[in-house]
Amino acid sequence: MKFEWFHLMPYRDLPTDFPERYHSVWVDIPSDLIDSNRVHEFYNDYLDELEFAANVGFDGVCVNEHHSNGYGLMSSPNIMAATLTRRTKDTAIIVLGNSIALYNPPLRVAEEFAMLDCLSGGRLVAGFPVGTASDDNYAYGMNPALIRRRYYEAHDLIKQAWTNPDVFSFNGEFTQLRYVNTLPKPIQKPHPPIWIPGGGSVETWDFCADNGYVYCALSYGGYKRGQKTLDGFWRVMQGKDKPLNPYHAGFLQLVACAESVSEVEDKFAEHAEYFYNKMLHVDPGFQDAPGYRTIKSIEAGFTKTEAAKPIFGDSDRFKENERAALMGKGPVTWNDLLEAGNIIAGTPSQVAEQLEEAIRTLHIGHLMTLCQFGSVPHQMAMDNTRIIAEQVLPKLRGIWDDEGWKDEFWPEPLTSRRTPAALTA
Amino acid sequence: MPEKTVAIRGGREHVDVIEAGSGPDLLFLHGLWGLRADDALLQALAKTHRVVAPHLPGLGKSSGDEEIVDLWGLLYYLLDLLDALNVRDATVVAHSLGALIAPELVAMQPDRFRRLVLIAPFGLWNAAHPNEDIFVQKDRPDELKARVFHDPTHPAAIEMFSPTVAAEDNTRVLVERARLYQTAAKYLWPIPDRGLRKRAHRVTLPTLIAWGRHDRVSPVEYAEDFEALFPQATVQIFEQSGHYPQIEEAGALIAAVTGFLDA
Repeated sequence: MKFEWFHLMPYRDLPTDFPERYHSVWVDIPSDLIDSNRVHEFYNDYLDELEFAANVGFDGVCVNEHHSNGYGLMSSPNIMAATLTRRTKDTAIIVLGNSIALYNPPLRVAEEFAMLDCLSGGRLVAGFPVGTASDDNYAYGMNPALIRRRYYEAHDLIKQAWTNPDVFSFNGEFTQLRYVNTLPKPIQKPHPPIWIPGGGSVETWDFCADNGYVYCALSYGGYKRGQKTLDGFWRVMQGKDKPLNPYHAGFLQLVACAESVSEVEDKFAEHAEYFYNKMLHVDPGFQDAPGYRTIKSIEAGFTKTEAAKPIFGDSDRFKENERAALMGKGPVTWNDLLEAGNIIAGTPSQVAEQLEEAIRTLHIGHLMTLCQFGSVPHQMAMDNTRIIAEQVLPKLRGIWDDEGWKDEFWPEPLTSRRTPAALTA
Repeated sequence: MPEKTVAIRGGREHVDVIEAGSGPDLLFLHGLWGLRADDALLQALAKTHRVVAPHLPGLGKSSGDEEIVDLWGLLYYLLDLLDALNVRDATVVAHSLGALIAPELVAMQPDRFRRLVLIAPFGLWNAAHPNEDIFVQKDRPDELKARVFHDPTHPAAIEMFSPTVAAEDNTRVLVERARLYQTAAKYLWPIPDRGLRKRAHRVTLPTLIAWGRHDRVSPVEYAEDFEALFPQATVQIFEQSGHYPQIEEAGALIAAVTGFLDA
């Protein structure tokens, strides 16, 4: 079992009446709400947290890409990943990811990821999300009717740039190049492991299954809502006669842990409510651009598949979880979030128990934890990270060992790697 | 109105077309919300013209959408259709999205066309009066009705944006709607300017520009910008209409168009 520590890098100081006064945290959030001086502090807090997580026992640290977004300030995840290569030693650097359809030419991704792989001594995981509609189509103006075609073409170009040793030409629909010669190539051969963050497109399941990419379901909905998505993926894998290796999938889960139940609520409740009620205030019109979801995915969304039973997990529990995950409109409370599975919270043994249920129901080998969420302040995030690393993860690491699964989707770094020289005057 | 399938490109693609009436050729290019067979303007024009009204690729049963990545791909597709149907010396009547396409088609083959009618066109961008982002509103029927129609309670507004749909038709209706916006996005995203200014000098044929005063999809302020681009054009504003003067003031709009074509 692998545990990765995920950061969104939010702007923690949004006004408390943000949803009432403002239209959206994403795309057209007024820029005067984002104080760059505060961002200096936040970025440094968050890098401290990521480096700490790497140090305290998480297998990987994750950064991601958002644009014009008050809850995700990493417009360039590669900048964050680069500094992490210097201040971490053994942990995987998981860029989850570069929205490859937004880079012109997509060679930029091939080059920067190769740099990160060389810098880190072969510790990179390369994430290729399509990217959200808010980021790609609204903030970056990319045509939603064409975004998936751009994405697949970018993917092909990047893989060729990494693996073709010759100087070659590329005559694509969206990118044309006469001399492709990406230097350096990544350390990892044939290329770093590729993970695909996905949300709801059925095509992503096929893409991951066919190419041997890790399917990462990234949402803030929690594992009870996530089980249907992962079940869909495993059905596709089964249909293609692929081994149902849990390391082929990953999931993002908010986790809050402290020594006692009352302490957990006292510490985290307001920040969790801040995240869901204030920080995730996005104009729904920005979240679904026309053509962003294929017609096939739209149709799949409407068909109620009454599956006889989920591939993993108990049917009754599956249905129970689905019911619990339904939340009404309007502000949610801490208890709503726990009930629906958005957040797994409690003492270390309670958290371990719920995480184990999540891991087994979703059948995942990669659990990405969000330990800093919403307005969770720096020290609270560090304490949350430490208690999970020290008291929860050891209980869960051995999951899947008895079934003999291997993580084929993990970096294979150089055995001997450089560390930064000591600073001298 | 009679619909047929027209093969183009040696049968590789098939265009779903309404072809009706007889007389001089008239190409009708529909707007953002699709081709409506019961369109009163279309029916009026079919009395005096051979009307050819294609569903744009991606809509109706017209194939070929996957191959098209930009406006130019669409223009050649339409020229292929006009060749297949032997459309010559034609009038073009175009609405909304169709009216972004029409002047470009004329600019490409000016000798093929004789008259141009643009109803509430897209195609220019003026940051001083930007058109609202209609795509953000696509799942909000009340917002759409208020923006597309001057009178949001008009039966056509209700039929277009909040029809009663039988449960078994629900998926089909929602998928059709998704296709409309996906097709429109291909040519209008992110702002609806494809560089018409560079080619407008090639469009010198007699032109009528019609606009609803209360159009919140393509604002009436753009009528001035279009008039400046096509100095030969006559502009007529319809005071009781939004984006569909051919629905909200059908009689007056049809009279204006037929009068212009007869002249």
